[in-house]
Amino acid sequence: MSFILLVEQTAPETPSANQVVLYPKSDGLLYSKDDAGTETPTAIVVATQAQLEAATTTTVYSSPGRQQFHPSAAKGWCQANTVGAAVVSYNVTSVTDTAVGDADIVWNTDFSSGNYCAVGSPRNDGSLFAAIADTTTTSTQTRIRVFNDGGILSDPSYFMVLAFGDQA
Amino acid sequence: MKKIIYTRSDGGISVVTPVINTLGESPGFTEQDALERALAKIPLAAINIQVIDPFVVPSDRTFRNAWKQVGATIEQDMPKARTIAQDRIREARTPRFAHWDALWSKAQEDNDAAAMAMIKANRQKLRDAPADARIVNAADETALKAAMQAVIGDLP
Repeated sequence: MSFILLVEQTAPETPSANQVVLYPKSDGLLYSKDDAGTETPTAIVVATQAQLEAATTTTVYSSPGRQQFHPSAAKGWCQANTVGAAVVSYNVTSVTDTAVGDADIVWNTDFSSGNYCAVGSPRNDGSLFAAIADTTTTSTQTRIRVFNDGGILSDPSYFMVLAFGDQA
Repeated sequence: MKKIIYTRSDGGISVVTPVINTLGESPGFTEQDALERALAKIPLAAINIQVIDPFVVPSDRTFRNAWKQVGATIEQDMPKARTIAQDRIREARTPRFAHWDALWSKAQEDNDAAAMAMIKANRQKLRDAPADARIVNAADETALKAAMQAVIGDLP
């Protein structure tokens, strides 16, 4: 067995023209620095959930199984009809029909608090509009309410909800 | 897929449909898994939680807000359903009132006593419509829906 042993260190000085230096740093990654002084990690490193949620590092990369932790990613979404059947969905546990024009989208992975950004709309050919309910929207569920132009709760063809925010 | 029903503290009934997500679900995730996952998230305040077959849930949502849970079934609360029917009639008569109000102004300007009498009678019919005997006497949901549609159809 053979190996090359490199000692972790701080970034060395910029090399001379037409030279590149390779060195490990205390984060365990191997870096290169070119003659312009540009430092670059030499391996693709998968970002952790915490790194994605912090959304600051530029030296690690998102993976399909974790990218949803980034603040810009939708944490859940759903298109469901009035009897609760989800046509398409992500991160949804169930859809609750609570009344005419009124449904709860219950999330699978909850949000860390009730403060997150949910957007709802009806899918419908008529003139309906939707609101996200206040007190009945919690870290575990989002309530969408759909009204007709007279302000009366009405069933749409479909409820559509998506949500952004920090998950538990 | 089976559904879950329960009664809320406000007396209303919630109908829960478990979901198998179209994206992001673990391989082999079954309807039973989805049901158990949904059951685990039923609110603590839920009363009389029951797992039911989907056909138990009425397909007609005309009087959805009058549904009440009886064991593992859903029945219609007829007094509430009548109130809903009366509200629908009130909604339907609103533009009819506006119509007759406009004609009333014209009849007054013209000092047309016959027209004013006719308009007055029609406006009274609109006022009386929610209390129509067909609504009050409807014995079940089907009869009430038919009565509601008939009363709305008869609005002057």
